[in-house]
Amino acid sequence: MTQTMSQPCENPSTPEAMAHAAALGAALPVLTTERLTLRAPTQSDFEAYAAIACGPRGVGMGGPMTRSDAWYDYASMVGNWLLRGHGLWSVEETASGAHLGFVVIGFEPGDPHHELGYMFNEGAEGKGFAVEAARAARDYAQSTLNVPVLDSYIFAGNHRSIALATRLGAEHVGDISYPEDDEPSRIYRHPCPAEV
Amino acid sequence: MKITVDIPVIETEDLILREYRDSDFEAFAAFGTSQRAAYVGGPHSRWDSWRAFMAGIGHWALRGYGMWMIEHRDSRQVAGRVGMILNDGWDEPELGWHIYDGFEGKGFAYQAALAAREHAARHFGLDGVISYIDATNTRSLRLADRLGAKHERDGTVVGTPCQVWRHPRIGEAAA
Repeated sequence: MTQTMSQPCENPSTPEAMAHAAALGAALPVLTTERLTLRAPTQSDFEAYAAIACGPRGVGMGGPMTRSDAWYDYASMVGNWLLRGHGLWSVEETASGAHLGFVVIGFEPGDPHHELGYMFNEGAEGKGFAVEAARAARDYAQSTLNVPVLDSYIFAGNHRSIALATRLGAEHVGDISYPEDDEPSRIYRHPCPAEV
Repeated sequence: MKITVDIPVIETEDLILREYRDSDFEAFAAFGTSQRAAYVGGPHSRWDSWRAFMAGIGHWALRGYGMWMIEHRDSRQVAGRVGMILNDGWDEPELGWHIYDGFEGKGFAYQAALAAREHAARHFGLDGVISYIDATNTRSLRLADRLGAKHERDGTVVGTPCQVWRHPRIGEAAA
């Protein structure tokens, strides 16, 4: 996190507004795994999201995005919870409280099915955190939300993401083109609960 | 399952300010994809409209305040949006209003903006707020004036030039 990048909007505004935001956030489910806590994203987590979406890692998300685009993207995945009952989680290492990244159960225009997405910062790599968090979100989508089909849509060049999907047991079942993207995405379909 | 949250409902003489519903999206997208959205960074694609719709909802959860959908009480139709917005890169939360086709010229924007401004001051701790207004948006400038706001300075919002109007604090409101 760089202090110089920070914007006024990332700071708490008024006690009244923050109490209301906390109450809304408390309505979102918290998932825990052996090492991780998946919890409601907050406005101060946006800096972590922007660091991923506006940097080289944003390429896999259709970016790198401008900060403005990253904000709409972030807020929309949070809003998804209220309208659709699923959305974005912040992923923390439980022991240290370190913010590692995000996982999302999304459904965006052009998606044929619900999507499992994951965005992690560089420091979180190589420790199996992403697979642990993604598995928890997948299990929640399938067992609690009863989502019938769960995909990850991944650019062919995003080897890290493909490796993670494969590790989760997902299979490349086809390709899909989104009007806003220059190249098609691969559809990785996650196994049903009975197959896991 | 659906997460239910407490977005306050405000009733005025003709309008109900309330949470977003699935069924509101067509009216939202009709505005966002039309020339009417030129003063709010549009027109947008339908995809962007969807993202903006969802982001409008997420704003409530992230900030604890946001824009309400305006429902016209008699027709039960969605007449626009009003409320407090703070997007990335903005200086401070602004009071914004979008009135949809067919609902202009009836004083609804005034009624909605007044109710939202008062609620924000009393319940969100946001008092004496600003509105960002395009210098050529004469209808909005007129409304800001009618609401008792004053042209404070010329500024920019994420690189786009605009006027910054300052609303009276709650005790000062003439209305």
